[in-house]
Amino acid sequence: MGIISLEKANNLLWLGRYTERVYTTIRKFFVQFDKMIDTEEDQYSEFCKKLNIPVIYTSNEQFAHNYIYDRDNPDSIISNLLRAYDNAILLRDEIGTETLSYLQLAIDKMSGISRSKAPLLELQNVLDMLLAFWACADDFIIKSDTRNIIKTGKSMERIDLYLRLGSSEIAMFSEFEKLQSRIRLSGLDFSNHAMIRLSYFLYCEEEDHPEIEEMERKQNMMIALEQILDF
Amino acid sequence: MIDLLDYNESINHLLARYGVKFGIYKNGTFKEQLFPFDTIPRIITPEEFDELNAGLKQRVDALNMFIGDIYGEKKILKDGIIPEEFIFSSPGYLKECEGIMPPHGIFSHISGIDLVQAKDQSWYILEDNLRVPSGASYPMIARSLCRRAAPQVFREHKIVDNRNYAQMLREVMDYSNTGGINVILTPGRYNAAYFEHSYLAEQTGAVLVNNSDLTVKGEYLYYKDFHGNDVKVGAVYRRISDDYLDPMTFKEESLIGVPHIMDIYRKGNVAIINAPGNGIADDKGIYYFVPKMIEYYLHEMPILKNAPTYLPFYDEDFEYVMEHFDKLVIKDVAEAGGYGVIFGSSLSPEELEKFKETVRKERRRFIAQEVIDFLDIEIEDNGEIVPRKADLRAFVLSGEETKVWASGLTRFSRVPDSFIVNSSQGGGFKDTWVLSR
Repeated sequence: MGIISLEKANNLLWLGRYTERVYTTIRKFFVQFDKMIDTEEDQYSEFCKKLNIPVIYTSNEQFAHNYIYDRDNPDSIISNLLRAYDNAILLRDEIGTETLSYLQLAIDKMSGISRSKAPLLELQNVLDMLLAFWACADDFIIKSDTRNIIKTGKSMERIDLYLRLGSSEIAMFSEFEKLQSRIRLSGLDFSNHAMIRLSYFLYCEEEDHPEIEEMERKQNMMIALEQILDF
Repeated sequence: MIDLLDYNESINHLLARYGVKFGIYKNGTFKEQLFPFDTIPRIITPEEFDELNAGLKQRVDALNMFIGDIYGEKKILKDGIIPEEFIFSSPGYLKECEGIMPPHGIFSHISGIDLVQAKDQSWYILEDNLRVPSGASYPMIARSLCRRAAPQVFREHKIVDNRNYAQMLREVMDYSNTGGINVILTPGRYNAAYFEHSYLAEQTGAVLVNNSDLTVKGEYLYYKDFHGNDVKVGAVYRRISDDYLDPMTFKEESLIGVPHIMDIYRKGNVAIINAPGNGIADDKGIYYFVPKMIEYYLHEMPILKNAPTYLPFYDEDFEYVMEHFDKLVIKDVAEAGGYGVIFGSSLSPEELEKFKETVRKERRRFIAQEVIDFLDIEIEDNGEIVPRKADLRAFVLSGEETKVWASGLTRFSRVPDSFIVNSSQGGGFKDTWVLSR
């Protein structure tokens, strides 16, 4: 076990969460954008509501622009990427210069998109840098607790986003299994009770609890997810 | 060398990727800037380095003895080598450090000595930085990239490897350590040198901490891990200034210090690197006396020269300064980073008179130096090779032995004929090659 302060543990966790948020929302945004091609205006509002972010956009076009790279919009993808960097910059001694550099590259790629004629094609480069960041984190971070705190954050965020934006059951189960393993390896203190509750609602069949609606089931899972770590 | 020039842009891109930046505040706003790197190195021959090595070790050893003496017996004052006025009125003198002897008697563990080379090839010391000198990380990382870019250049030239700085620093921390882990204390990411703090932590294996991670409990300093366990700290390489180090001893409004760290430091229960109170030895006014210190403490003649310096405090020097004001460079002893430096020749007759009056009123506040005609070194500027002024910050590390790092930070001005090389004022940097043969 390395020596990590509570503040750094928090930074590591949020580094995992923000990088995952950027990665998964870009991928989900691709799907949303594709839908917008064939449908009427205002399709983006459903996407925003699912993410619980304000619907401040005025058109599909403005959504596509503002949601990706408006730095003044705290919910934009670039803002989330910058928050990932804000955490990472405090962790050079933990994650290493090489790992950190992939986030810098992701920001550089994202910044270049505003000048591109086909920004959505260019977003793929941001995804590539995030994948490289995680690969590098896996490969270069020697301390198991450091690595697994980032991955715990990543899994928690992915489950949260899957619950909000939808995913296959297999993908959800797979991520939950990863979370269980990572959180134990991270050395973080976690609530076993919240973990069991999350597991219960995740695996219970609709016929087991016909009185619980799908929305309520998801909310219960999100609450349990947020209660797993108490710092 | 030509090979390296081809990679100027690529290497700068890689430095940007690795976050090699420094922070700067302009109009109250923090901005991060890239530190432009020029691939044409400064080259120091083995003969030159032999002289620098001996001269720098001698100087830093004398400075360490001086600091110990000032906060101890004060023999140099009693013997009249330095007037008391220069000590007790200096903002660098901290009465709170009286009587403290740090582990192994080392005060300046990391000394950044600024030199320039004149056109006659001789080296002059411009400034001693004994508080928190920064800059070693830049040539360290640049060297790795240059070797990657043009391996044949390094195969053909026998250049001393400078990537041992982290190891040297680690040895210094370990030597002074009083038992416990090594930490690097940073004021945070909005500090101008934050890149360096985090990079050195990564490279030395020390833990990068801010003040909220550290607590004095009883007689010792502890770092708290995320389980709440206390881990004892034996050495703190602090990258914050003395004033903010301990709100219980210095500025009480400090939010970045560690309360009571001075109490346990005084008892010898933790090493603080560099020691608080070192500012007394790198005061621009004290600089004048360093050659005298070398003679006094070491009974040796100084190997390296100071730039010819005048202290208006002395009547004779004052008269000289007033007569030759337009030919001298005047420095405010309280300023740093290239600020407070005025070239007499740059002033209008009215400004000159006004400034003379200020010096007349505050004779202790200024020093005056002859303008050294720096040897220009070449840089690449928009595809052209042009001459520019440059200095060299040499790093001297004091642990079990005093060692000079066989490299250094060469800073250059990007403005033709300007003598101001500071990064905060738009300067760039170069690698410094010490040839082994």
